[in-house]
Amino acid sequence: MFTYIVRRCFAAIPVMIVVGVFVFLLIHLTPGDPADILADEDATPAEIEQLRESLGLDKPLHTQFLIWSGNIATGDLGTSLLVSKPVTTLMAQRIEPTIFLAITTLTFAVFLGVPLGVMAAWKQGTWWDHAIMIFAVLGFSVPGFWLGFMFVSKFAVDWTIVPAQGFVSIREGFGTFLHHMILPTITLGSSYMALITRITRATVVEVLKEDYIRTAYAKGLPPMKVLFRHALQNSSIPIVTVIGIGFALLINGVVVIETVFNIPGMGNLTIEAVLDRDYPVVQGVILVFSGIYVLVNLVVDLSYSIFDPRVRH
Amino acid sequence: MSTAAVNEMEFESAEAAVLPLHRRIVEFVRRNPNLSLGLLMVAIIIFVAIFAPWIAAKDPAELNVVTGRLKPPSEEYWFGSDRFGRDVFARAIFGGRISLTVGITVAALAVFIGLMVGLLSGYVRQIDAWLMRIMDGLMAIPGLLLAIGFIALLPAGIETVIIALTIPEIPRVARLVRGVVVVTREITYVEAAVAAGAGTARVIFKHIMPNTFAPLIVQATFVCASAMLSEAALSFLGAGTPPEIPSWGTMMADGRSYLSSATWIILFPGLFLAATVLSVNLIGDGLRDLLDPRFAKEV
Repeated sequence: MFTYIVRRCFAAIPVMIVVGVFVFLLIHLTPGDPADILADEDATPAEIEQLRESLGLDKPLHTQFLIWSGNIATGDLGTSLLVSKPVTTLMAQRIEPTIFLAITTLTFAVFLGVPLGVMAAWKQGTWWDHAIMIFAVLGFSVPGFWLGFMFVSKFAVDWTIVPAQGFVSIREGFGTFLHHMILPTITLGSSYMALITRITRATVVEVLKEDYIRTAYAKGLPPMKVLFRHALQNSSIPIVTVIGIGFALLINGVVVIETVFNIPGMGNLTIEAVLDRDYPVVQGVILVFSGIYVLVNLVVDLSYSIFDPRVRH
Repeated sequence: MSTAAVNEMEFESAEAAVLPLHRRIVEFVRRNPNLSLGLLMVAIIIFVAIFAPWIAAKDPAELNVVTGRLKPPSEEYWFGSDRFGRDVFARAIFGGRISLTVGITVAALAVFIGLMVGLLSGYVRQIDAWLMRIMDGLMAIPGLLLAIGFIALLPAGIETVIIALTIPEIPRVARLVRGVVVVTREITYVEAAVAAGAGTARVIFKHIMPNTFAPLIVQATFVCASAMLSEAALSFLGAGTPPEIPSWGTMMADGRSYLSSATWIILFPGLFLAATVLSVNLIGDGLRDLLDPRFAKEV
């Protein structure tokens, strides 16, 4: 078991190295002089030269990479070009709303998507199944941010039952926090939930054909117990895998949905940085989000052994 | 396969051949409802986008700041007008051009580059591990963020959006192609071709590549759908299509400040985008059922 965990953890390292190289090279792969791209449009040649020096862009590429990765290893993601603060400080100020939004969205998508998928599989071929699947295809096709605006226009503007935007910290009361989170969570979670519903249905449909399901029914177990205890548990590996892969949907969505609802989180920071061409911040955000994504999928990998003891060996 | 089954199949195909065209179309639609609906909708959307100047009564850029600002849907402005008095209907119809161009170009580019990387990786064992590690790393960066990384560096424009959205899609295509190649490579007919003296290029392109087409077509539709959604999201954020070009994303960005007073500015482009993405997804689902019956029961 221990060697399994260690082996999995080590497998994530080369992936992170490749991510790091990409993020580093991004600016060198694009045509043009990096210092020129990063500088203000009306910067003088002397200012550009100064920027080049302060970012270390005058050194050879491999030296730059070593310095850059060395800094990252010590937790230094560089300094914002715009506000002259460390990138890590900027992120720390913005991380809380994003973490909470991710938690509520993940909960919403999993605890609604999985039962819906099981339901569709159980009622395969009936109008329940069709309705749930149409719902899932729509979840993939409707742009999240547009859905958010439609929700706001109905529930926040017309009916005023939820706030239209903003974020309230959980420390200021769980009720107000949740109240502000309802619309962003549903908006961000719709495509993620659709993905989970589809894969759950597909896997459970296959598992329901197995002999042990027939046996479970035959010995008189109630259908809910057969579905959630026998069918779902044996479908769990593909489902958690998709929850892990689909986490990218959540990260992509955060960038857009935080803008829609004016939530001062990491996604919002990303967009501000892109529009201001504050490249060190963009780099740092990509790196941190990718790291989280790799970590989530590592946890998913490790969780296989909980669902299926055979994986441990 | 039993003789009876073969006879039945022959019988079926013979029957299909004598059916008149309209009966065959009805039969196809009955068997592939998703695919047919998706194809019909996409055909209409493409038609409307191409003939936009003749369908829209107004010029999408025509301003009417004096008397035509923020008018609700009416006989004059079918979908209402925006803050400059521009016709939302005309803009929504012209906006389809951007979405379709970006969606189709990104799908074509990602499939072509991914196909080349996948073939190379699947057939040339020496570089396989390296190429796949690079693809793994690219896949670990959430797509929209990687696109944003490029957009922050490249000059604003549709070309930039296309490049930025293509790159994150390449690894998925490459992995898919590699998977098919690794399996096909071991099949006896490939061995036979090699034994008969076929060169590497001939083996790859003539004997192995055709096996990747069916899954690639399906993948291309999903790439197209996701590229259209991402383009709209980027344009909405102000990091995609330049604001002066009418695209569904820029229109929605425009309408943001008027959400409570002029919902139609956001409502209609979003509906058009959702309908387009939905029909492309329906085509993808339908094609997967049609081309690969093994998957039909799955997702």
